[in-house]
Amino acid sequence: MLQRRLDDLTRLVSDWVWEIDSGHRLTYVSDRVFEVLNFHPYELVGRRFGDFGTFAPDSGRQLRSGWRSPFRDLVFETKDRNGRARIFLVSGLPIFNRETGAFEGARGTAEDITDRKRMEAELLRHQNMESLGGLAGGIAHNFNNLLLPILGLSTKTLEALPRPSEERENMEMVVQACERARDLVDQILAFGLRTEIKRDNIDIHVIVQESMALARTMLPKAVSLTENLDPTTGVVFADAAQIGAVIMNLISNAVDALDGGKGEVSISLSQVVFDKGKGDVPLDSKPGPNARIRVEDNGKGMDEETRKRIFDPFFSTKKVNKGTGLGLSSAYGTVTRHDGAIDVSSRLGEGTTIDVYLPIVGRGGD
Amino acid sequence: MAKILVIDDEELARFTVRKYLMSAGHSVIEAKDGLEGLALQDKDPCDLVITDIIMPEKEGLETILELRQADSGLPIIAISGGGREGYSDYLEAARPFGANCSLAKPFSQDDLLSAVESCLSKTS
Repeated sequence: MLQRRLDDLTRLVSDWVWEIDSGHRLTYVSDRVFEVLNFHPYELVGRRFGDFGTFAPDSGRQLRSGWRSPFRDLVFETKDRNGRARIFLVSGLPIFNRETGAFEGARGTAEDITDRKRMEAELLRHQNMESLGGLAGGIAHNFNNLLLPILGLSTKTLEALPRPSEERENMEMVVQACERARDLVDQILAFGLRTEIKRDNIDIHVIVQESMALARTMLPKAVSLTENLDPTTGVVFADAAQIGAVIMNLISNAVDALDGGKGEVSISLSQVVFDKGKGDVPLDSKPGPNARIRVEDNGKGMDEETRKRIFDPFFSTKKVNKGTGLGLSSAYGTVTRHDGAIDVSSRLGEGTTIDVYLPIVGRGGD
Repeated sequence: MAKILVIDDEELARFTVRKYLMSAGHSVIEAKDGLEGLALQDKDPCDLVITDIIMPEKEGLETILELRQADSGLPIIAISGGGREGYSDYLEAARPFGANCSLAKPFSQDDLLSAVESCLSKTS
């Protein structure tokens, strides 16, 4: 009776249940592990936790007693069969021989908190973007006030200087620098000001096609641009100019990521359907049909730390004066203001894929 | 040539705008905020008013509204360096309040003088 009750509970709980022996090797793993890691229990039995993942440093310290003390909510990071990161909270109790008191192992549970962690990270990013947006607007306002006399009076002085003269040459440099500063402030404002979006029902295929045509005229010859666009993807409720700018931005970043300026960038457009709570649904995305604009490159890729930061305002891996660090954060802002989502996957040395999702509101290709 | 009232809390901005306007022969009166600007305009009316939007004491939009209520034909130009919601919002908001046109800082001498000319010609 007791065994049956335990079996039923083990099958029902959303955590997976485990047991280890005195050598810390798994002797039992509940079937639930297959649903979260796509591994059969028999594939994990005989292995130690450390063989297929790592405990967070703080958590690891709590295990110094060699699993001989009860522990709760230790963060364990691993990867599922498809290589996707999964995070668990592991809790357990030691097992001691009732007669000899010898340590015989431990048993406990592992709760999947991957989605919660992802949501926390996204929420933090949202909050950062909001506060930085306000800050950016405030800074831009003060800068523009200062740029009026700097740029205005430098230009007036420049016009009054004789040509050619060293003074005029110097003043031309001052004016050029001011103009660059003004352009930078414009970009900061574009990031911070939440430009009014003029949305309409538009065929996403048309926007992507137009952006591709524009991109082709601007790309270096060494870059091969390929496309795979489904004309029936659908109609989205969007500001065509802003979504076009996002696509151009992503293409431009993909080209910049190519090693030595050579390589391939591919754009695809298709419809995907998100079922809430099932599969890998990008956070922020709306359930139902979505247009997916995918921009892929086979460039240098990025490590996990860089990937986490690429939407942060002013974060740039480009050389000084080559990028403001606002392009991708602006793209992120635009997409989320369109009720969409943006997702990045990348491997160092292998390239990057950025997916933009926009909710579909009607049939396309008509 | 016109007599123009420039309202801006930034002394450097007022100085620059004055230089721009004087180069075209206009005479300039300056005020450091909306309150001072309204008092000056009430005492000795100018032909045109250029006012910043974000200011202490009395905001630019409120100033524009009161100027317009006092004189429906007065040409008013709104200027702004932007703000938390971005300059486009503020400058767009200035029109319904009564501004004839608006300029985003930093603007050039040519930008300002053509706006002044355009406003004066429409209201003369």
